[in-house]
Amino acid sequence: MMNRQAMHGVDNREKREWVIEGRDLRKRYGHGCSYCDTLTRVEQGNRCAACGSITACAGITFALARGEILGIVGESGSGKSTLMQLVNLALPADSGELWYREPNETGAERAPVNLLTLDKYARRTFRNQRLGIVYQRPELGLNMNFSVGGNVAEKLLLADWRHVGRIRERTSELMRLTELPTERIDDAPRMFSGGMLQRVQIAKALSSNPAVLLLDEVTSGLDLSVQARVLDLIRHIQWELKMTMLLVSHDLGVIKQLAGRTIVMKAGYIVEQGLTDQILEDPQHPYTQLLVSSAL
Amino acid sequence: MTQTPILDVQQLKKDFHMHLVDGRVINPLASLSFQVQRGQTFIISGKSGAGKTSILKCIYRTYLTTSGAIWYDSQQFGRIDIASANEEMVVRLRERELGFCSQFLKVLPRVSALDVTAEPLVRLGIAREAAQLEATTWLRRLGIEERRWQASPVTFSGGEQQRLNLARAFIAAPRLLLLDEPTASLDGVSKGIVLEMMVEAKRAGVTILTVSHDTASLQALADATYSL
Repeated sequence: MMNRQAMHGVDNREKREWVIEGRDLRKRYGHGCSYCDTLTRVEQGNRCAACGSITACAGITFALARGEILGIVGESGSGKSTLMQLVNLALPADSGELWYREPNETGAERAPVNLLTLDKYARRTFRNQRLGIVYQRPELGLNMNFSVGGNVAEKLLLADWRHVGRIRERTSELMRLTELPTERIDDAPRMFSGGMLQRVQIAKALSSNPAVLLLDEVTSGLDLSVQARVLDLIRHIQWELKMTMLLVSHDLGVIKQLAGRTIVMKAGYIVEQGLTDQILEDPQHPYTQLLVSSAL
Repeated sequence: MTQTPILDVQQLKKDFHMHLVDGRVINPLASLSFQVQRGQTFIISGKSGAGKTSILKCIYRTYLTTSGAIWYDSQQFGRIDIASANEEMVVRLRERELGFCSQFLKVLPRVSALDVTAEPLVRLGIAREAAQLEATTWLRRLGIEERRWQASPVTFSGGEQQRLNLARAFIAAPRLLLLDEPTASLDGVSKGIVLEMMVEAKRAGVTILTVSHDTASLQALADATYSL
């Protein structure tokens, strides 16, 4: 039996205060062929035997509610990072819709925008101002030779901040929030440890006060003691700033500690979604049961 | 005039499909019905493995109900079937109305017992210092030594973890409190304190649904019982 919310959740969509909503998002790597189109079930896998194309996202529909952490879990190659890059507008989707909605200052809702219809300049502005991303590998998110201050300033300049004093002030504020020593504002990231680099990335991602924070395997490369501190920091950011987050991880322990709801992906499909404790304690899909029973 | 029950469980059925064990089906709850009135302390008893915890987990929506309904008279949404409500509503119910105390404590390592206890309040948007202050009251009351408040509960004994779990469940003052074997791994003194906390919560109007095989010590508090 499938999760009944996975089947009926869409009906209640309008009642939810969602920020990002993907509808039938598709992304294929490779030129594709007519045989690719016959692959419509998770059991068939996502690699086309005829042309070798990989379907990384095969019609993903999801909603990210305001203030929640939505976890995406799945094995390597399940398409979770591709989905993250689609939301980050770093990869163009082949088809589908990606809606974004934010309340304006008066609290009234603005009309939703389909992000996939924006031109490249509007996309770039949106990414710089409304999204923040933290990668597993800090060198993807940071310029390792700029100072911490320079890295944060880079994002803020792109988000149209111009006053140097205010940029520096904001950087110090973020360093305090992410528990980094403010006196190291002029040090380059290459001089920081792994756990601190993730904090610098988080500080940079939060600098433009984004609507959504994307976290891509943020603790995967860290040793366990540092991992716990970074996870605790992320939880506090969510509680205190009510930040909306999309969290990709292959580690169920990380998902359990952070995500309120979880999507389970396999071969480009969502096989199950639900409240995280339900996914972990009462998984419905055979793949989720395998995943949960394999966790240490 | 009869009052609307705060919880009305109708024909609750729960199956577990074990896809990895030849698709075997385990059926802890076949067709369970009971009602809990507002402000009652309701005790469900039964042997180990009878499905007591499964009932609580279905009500808290950690388990998906196979069939039947769990009608809850909520403050935010009125009468709502938790078994089929959308996830967003369940999240809000958990935040504001439902408290669950499990038998096990699973927390993030390296977070202090004080912060772990204060967490439900911080989640509600209460400032960290104020939440910690409130947490100290509960920790003191439940007999956790002050010198251990800064330590991670991972290092605590089973009974201490259990008390921390209870503190987390009581601290946010939920409307419906679900307690899973609240007195199971406690000594006599701690047990007394927990019973006292339950009496106080009841006096404050909290409805308590507890499952236990230790009915002797809880019997005095019970307004209604159900045996599996």
